[in-house]
Amino acid sequence: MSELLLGPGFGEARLLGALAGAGYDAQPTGREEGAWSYLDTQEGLLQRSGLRLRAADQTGSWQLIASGDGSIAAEQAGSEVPLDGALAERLHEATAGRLLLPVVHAHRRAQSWVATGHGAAVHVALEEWSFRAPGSVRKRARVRVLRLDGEGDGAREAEILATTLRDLHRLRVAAGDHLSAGLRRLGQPQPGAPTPEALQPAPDEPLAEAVRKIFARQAFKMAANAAGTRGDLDPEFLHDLRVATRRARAALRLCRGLILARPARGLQRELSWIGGLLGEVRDLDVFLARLSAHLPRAQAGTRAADRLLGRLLERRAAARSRLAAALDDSRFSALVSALEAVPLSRSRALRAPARAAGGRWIAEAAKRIQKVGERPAAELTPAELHGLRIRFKRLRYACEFFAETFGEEVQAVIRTLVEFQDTLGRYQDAVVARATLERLAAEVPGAADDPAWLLALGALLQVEREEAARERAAFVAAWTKLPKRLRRLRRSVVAGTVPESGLVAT
Amino acid sequence: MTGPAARRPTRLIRWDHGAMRVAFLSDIHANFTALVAALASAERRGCDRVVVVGDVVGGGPHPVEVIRLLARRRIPAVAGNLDRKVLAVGGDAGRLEELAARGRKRAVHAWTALQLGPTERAWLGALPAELELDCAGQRVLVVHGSPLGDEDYVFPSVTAPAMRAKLAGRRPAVLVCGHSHVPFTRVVAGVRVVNCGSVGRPVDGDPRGAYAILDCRAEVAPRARIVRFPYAAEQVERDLASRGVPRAVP
Repeated sequence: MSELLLGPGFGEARLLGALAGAGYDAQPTGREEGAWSYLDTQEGLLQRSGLRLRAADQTGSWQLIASGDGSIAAEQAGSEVPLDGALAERLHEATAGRLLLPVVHAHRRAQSWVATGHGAAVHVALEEWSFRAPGSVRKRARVRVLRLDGEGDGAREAEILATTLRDLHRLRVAAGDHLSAGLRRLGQPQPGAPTPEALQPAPDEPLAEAVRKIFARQAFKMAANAAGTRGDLDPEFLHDLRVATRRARAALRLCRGLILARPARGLQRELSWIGGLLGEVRDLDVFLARLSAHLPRAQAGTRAADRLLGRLLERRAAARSRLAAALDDSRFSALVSALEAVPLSRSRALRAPARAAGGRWIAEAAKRIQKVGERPAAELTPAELHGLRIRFKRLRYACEFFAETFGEEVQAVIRTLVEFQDTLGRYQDAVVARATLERLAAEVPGAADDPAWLLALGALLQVEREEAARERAAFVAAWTKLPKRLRRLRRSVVAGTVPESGLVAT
Repeated sequence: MTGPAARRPTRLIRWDHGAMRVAFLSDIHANFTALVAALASAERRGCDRVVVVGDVVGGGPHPVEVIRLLARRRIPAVAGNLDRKVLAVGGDAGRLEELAARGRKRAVHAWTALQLGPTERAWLGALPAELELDCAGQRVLVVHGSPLGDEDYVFPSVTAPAMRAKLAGRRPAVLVCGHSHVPFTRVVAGVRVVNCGSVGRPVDGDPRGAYAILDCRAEVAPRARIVRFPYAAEQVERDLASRGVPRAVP
C-alpha cells in the first residue's frame, strides 16, 4: 500500500488525467465517509508501544492498530463501548489501566476507483482527512491523501503507479500514520509529547547550543501540556507543565551570566508567576489525592469527609479558573516564545564544550548536598529537610539537562537521586498536609462546634504525622549511602571532562 | 561491436528544422526520480527533442517506470551494455535467488529482468545499438560506449588518433556517447565529442545528475554543453531499500 500527500490543486479531475496519462483506465467504485476519535494516555503509552486506538464515532466500534504497517491488531464493535475481551486485555497491557484521553478527532471522506492497465488492477482512493484538536471547534487541519493498493500483480503495479505519480506530479510520500499527520498539521505534539529530535542534546555540542536546547525543551513541554491542563483532562498534564516551569527556573539559575541579564530577570518573573498559579492547583491535587487515600484509614464520618472534600474542591475550582485564564492569556504564550529562543550573552564560556560545563554544574550541585550530608540525618530539622529536597531537585535537574551527554553512568545516578528526592517529597507532602489541615480547622466557619468535623481532622492529622515519621525514618536509613553515591557522581562527571579554566561564565 | 547489440541496426532519424536544441540523456540506470528531474530541466531549457544514450535500466529501483515513460513519450534511445545484460540474464525467479544468494553481481540484472513485463522487455529488446540523427543538417552519431561497442569508453583524455580509431573512418559532425558517467564535451580529431555523463548515477564527485544539450543550426558548428540538475537521491535510496534491489552497483 502506498500513500501520497496531495496539494490543494490535485483533485479528482487531475487524478483521472494523471491515471490516463500513465496508461490506466479508472472506473469509480464508490464513496465512503467516517469519523474517529484517536485516544491515548497522557504519557502516550500506546504511542510508545507502537499502537493506535481509535473509536468510530458513529458505529461505536474500536480499533487497535499496530502503527507502521497499518494492520489492525484487534477490533471490537458495539454501540455501547465498554471494552472487553482480547482488545481490553491488550490495551490494559499497554496502558497499565491509565486513563485514555482523546488525542485528536478525525473525519475521512473517500472516493475510490479501480484503475486497470499494464495487465493489472490497482485500487485508487482519494481521501480527505480533517483533524480537530479535542476541545477546539475552530482549530482544524486537512490532509488529502492518495492511497494506492492492490492484490497479487496489482500490489506491484500500485507501487509502480505510486512512484510514477509521485515523481511526475511532485507528490510527497505520506510519512507515518493518520494520527501523526493530523497532529503535525494541527501543530500538536505526538501523544506523550516526546521531545523532538532537534531539541535533543548532542554529545559534542558547545554550551551555547546545549543551553538553547535546555530552554527550548522546557518551552516545548510547557506548550505541549497547556491544552491538557486547560481542559483539566488528567492531573498529569498540569504536573508536567509545572515540572517544565521548574526546570526552566533551575536552568536560569544554572545559566546565570550566560543569558542576557534583563531578559533573564523577565523570564524569572514570568516563570514565577505561572509557577505560582500551577503550584496552587497542583498542591490541592496532591492534597486531595492524599485525603482520598487517608480518609478510610482515619475512619472519618461521611458528612465530615464530604464537608472537607467539598471545601477543597471549591478552592481547587477557583485556583483552576485563575490558571485557565492565565494559560489563555498572551502573557503565557509570550513566555513560551521567550523560552524557545533565549538571548545568550557574549560569554566565552558558551563556546566551551557543553560536557565540561555540565560536569562542573553537576559537581557543584552535588557538593552542596554533600556539605549537608556530613551531618547525621536525625539532626536535620523539617526546614532543613525541605531545603535539602530543593538541593536534590536542583542536582537532579542539572543531571537531567546533560543526561545524554554523560550517558548511562549519570542516568543511573539520576535514578538514585529520584529515590532520595521522592522520599523527601513524600515527607514534605505529609508536613504540608498537616499544616493545611490545621489551617482548615481554623478557617471553616462553625468547625469548632462540630465534633464530627474536629474528630475527622484530628484523625487525619494523626495519619499525616505517622506518614511523616515513616518517610523520615526511610530517609535516615538511606542517608548513610548518600555520601558514597555523591562522590561517585562527582568523580564520573568531573574526571577528564573539566578543563582548568574557561568554565565559569564571564 | 560487442554482443547482441551488433545485431540491432543503426536507426536513422531526420529532424529537418532550421535550428534545434536536443537533450541527450544517458545512463539513467532505472532511476525514475532522476529521469523526471532531467526531463523537467531539459524542458525548462527549451529543448525541442530528447534522445536517450543507453543504460536505461540496471542497478536502480524503477526499471518499469523508466521504460514506460520513455515508451509513452516516444523518446528515441540506443541500447546500453546493461540493457543488453538484463535481457540476457532472463527473468527466472529461481535464477535470481541463486544469484542473490551467491552475492553475484548479476543478481541485480536478474532482479531488473524479473520486474519487466513482456511490453517493457519488447521495448528494451528493440533498441538499436546506434542512432544517426540528421539534426538541422548536422550529422550526429549516438552510441552508448563508442562506435567500437557499448563497453568501450570515451574519456575526456581521449586523443585524436584514438578518436580516429574509434570512429573507424566515419565522419559525423557530433559524436554523442555515455557509459563512463564522466561528462565532457570537446572537439577531437575534428569531431565534436559529447559524453553526457549519467542521469541516474553520477560518479564524478558531483552528486547531481548530468545530461548534455546540443544546439544545431544549418551551416553553423554545433554547440554543446553539460547540464547538472539536482534530484531527490535520498528518495531513490529509500526505494532501493523498500523494493529489495539486491545490490545497487552493477
